Amino acid sequence: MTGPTASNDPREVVLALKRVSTSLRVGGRLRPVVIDVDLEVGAGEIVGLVGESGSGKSMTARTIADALPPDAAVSGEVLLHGENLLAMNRRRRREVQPSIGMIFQDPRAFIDPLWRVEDHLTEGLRVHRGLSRTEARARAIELLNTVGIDQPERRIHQYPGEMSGGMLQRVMIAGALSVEPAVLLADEATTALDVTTQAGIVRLLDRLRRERGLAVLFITHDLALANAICDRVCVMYAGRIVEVRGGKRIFDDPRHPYTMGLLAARPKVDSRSQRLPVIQGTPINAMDAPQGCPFHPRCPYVLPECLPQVPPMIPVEGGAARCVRAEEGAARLSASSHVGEQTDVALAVSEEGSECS
Amino acid sequence: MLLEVKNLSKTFQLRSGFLGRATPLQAVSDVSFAVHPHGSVAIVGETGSGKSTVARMIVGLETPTTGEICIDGRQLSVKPNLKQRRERARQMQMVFQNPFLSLDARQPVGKAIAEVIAHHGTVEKSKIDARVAELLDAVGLAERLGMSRPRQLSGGQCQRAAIARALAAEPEMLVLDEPVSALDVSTQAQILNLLADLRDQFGVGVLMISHDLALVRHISDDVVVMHRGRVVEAGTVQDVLDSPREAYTQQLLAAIPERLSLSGANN
Repeated sequence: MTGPTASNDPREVVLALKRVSTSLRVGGRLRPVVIDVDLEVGAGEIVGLVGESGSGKSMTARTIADALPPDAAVSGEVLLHGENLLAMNRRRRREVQPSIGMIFQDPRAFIDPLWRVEDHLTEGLRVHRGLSRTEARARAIELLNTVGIDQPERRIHQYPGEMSGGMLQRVMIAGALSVEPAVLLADEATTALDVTTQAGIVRLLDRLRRERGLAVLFITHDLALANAICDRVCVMYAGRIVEVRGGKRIFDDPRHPYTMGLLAARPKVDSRSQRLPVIQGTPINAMDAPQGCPFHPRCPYVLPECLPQVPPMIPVEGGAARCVRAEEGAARLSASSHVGEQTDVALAVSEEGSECS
Repeated sequence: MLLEVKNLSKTFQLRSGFLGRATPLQAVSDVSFAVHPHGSVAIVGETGSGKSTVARMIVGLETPTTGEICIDGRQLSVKPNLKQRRERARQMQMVFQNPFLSLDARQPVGKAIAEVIAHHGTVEKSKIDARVAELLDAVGLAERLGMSRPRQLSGGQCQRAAIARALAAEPEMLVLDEPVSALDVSTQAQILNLLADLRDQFGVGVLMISHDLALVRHISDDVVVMHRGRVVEAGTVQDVLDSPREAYTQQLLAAIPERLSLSGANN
């Protein structure tokens, strides 16, 4: 369901999710957070996973990385080089774990402030690769070079507190690369950084996927950023993928009303608009999703057929969209909308909105 | 002029280690700009540019090392007494990035708004409840949500409550520090439209601190670009964003995602 890849060469699929659903135990009951997610990342590809809070994008990453709470329930298949991570025994799972690297939004929350950069980078090498201290240090210096840190011989002795956020994120990437993963999960990895620093990290990820064939799953709330660096972008809403598009199509010709709304709601840097078109209401979690299309209470283009069941992914140019009107495109949709009827429904929903991030 | 800032500088004394010798850090050097009545100015810059320190000095959370801050042509005292501090708080209110942190988690948001009204005595005691309802309505919150504590609200609703609290003092100026960057994209647009409406309705001047140039284009008339504590470029939003003169401003504009170009992506 991921649709055709952006380029024509069929790259080796490194990571594949097939009908993955994840539920968490909330108040004694299992509640869905990720529903039926299908997704593929090839060697050397960057695939974007875009959504707002509660969309399930981080839970998808945590499902892949085996970083869910112990009482979570997962179904479907998470395939790494064709091998299902969910069906492995504990020992095999630990063996393949180093193949999946992960970086996060706030490196300071994940790095021990009392560990020097060297300690952080050499731990994995010594545990997983069995290198000696001297070998591991030489390798760590090499890694710091790779991620573009100047004077690695000096930096390796520093503590996290002595480094800037951007530099620390580079150290985290070096740490993830130290055990030569096949997949890198980047969960809002540039969100806390300045734009110029963000551009540097994004260029680094782009270089790593080209030079090392790293498969990158790039998770962000920023559709423009995903569009700039990803070969393919998946938009998530209420736990489901609602649109997958290759190339710049998600930006130039979105087919799901939610994607259209997200794009329109962002102020533009090139021109000033008097009023921003808003998506009424607030984003919802999978567990609060209504029957039918999860977006229908906020959708300006809702039809009676949106209500009975969740629409299937409908193929469109360069991908697919989970909308019964996916073939119409933004121009035809807005020409046909009955905005007046919709706002009352949507406003009622925004009043009830009580989602917390 | 509503707000005039002249040659503002701030030096922090940083101590390294216990009893270590203080080393001076010049966070802000020689910053000057002005906000017209009903005007809207943005200060943009990255981490460490000094933009937040400027805002904090203006609202009185930091003391300037040198320089002047004038409101309505009157210079603010460097060491204000209680009466002067109250007066400044009435004239200027600040809205912070994260409303869950800037509002008291244990206090219903309506109470927080009522407290500000009572403190500044802007309406009679008997009319406070009615005024709270009026302010909640102005920011698009149902009156019953005044009973909610911050955690019972969504991020957008909570930021609306924080804006209502700022307006409760009937300020002439709002200082907004990254007002929407903690919110979801679809919620951001709602808050930005609200701020535009409130500017028309209440006639307040706005000073916004942001790193987001698209947001600056949308909200502000003038922009001050700061880098390493100094103003590198200032002018109308149109001039600065459409034809930036300084290399640093050009670099900032080139790094925003919409303009980012990578060699490897997308075919």
